[in-house]
Amino acid sequence: MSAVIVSAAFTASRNGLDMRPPLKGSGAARTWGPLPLLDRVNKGTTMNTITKALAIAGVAAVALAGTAAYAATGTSGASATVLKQVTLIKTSDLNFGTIVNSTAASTVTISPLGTKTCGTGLVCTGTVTAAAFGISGTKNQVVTITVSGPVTLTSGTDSMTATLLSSASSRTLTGTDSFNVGGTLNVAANQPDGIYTGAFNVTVDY
Amino acid sequence: MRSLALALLIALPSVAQAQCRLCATPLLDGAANGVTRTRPLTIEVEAALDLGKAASRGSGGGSITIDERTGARRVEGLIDLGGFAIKGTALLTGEPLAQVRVTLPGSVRMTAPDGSEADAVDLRTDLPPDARLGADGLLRFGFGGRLVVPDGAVGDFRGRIAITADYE
Repeated sequence: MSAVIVSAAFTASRNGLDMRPPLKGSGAARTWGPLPLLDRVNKGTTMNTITKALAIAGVAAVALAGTAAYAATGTSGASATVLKQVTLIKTSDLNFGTIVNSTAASTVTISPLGTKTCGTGLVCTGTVTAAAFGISGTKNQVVTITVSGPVTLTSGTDSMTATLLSSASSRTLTGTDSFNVGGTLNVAANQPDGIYTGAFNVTVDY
Repeated sequence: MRSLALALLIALPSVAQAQCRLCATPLLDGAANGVTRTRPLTIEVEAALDLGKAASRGSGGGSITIDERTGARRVEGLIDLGGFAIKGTALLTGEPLAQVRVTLPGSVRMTAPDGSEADAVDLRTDLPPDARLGADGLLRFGFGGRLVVPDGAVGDFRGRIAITADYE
């Protein structure tokens, strides 16, 4: 009993297709045959069909693999974060209301929630409000809130100072964000009457 | 018996040659010089390209550039917010001293979760035109590029850069 093995081997090189001749024989006697061309692989009808099929498959595989057998492909991630510009809108001023002075120095405090605390000796009336601000920006981003201070309120040549207090020093944006600023107004003894105004800066940054 | 042994001796080199031809298929490095390449190239990305963080000025778009050599960052038309911006780095492994060619795509589309899109362009490596692997078969290189952010596009942009390397 003997068998003849007929096959076609194909390898790809950078120079193109390299068709090896058919392998013939069995066991230790296997050896390359002398015929490298497709149409000379085998003259047997059945084997010829199989061999050609193998050859076509080999050619197709080589065509797909091409010369990229020794090439390498890697993939790198690339990332960047671009945020919306932060927008800060003032929706309310800090208002200490109307204060009747005293012969002793005292203070008036408006909490960030708008609660008034009138110091000893003073009479505090009228509407008071904490300053309020709205923030818009990119959701889930953290912003820091910085309030300048103290602020000087003036009426002509007269003045008072106020320290400021924010309801938050940072915030993770949700889309509808706001914060308030209150303060403590230092009222001198016999503070001259007048309408005192001032301005302060609030900064919000990513 | 003696003639059989002789036949086996004669046949052995042929068998050995056949096995060698089956298992070893050296890659020719050009027909002219006939240098062979037996080690396939591999790429290991060591650091992804991160262009950091910026904020829109409200209109106009802009760009963020990472220099492929220095890793320096340049922001145009946007507010530079810093962040952890680094150039990409990759390690190429293959045949020692072999000349290689590394190719990056012309552009890469980067997308944000909300569907915003931006394109990374001018993707370049810091390799010279005649880049070669070292004697240890290694070549480390950096790469950078420029992200072009259209007007109104914001978000966490992500993309994939395909890096291809081949023997010259």
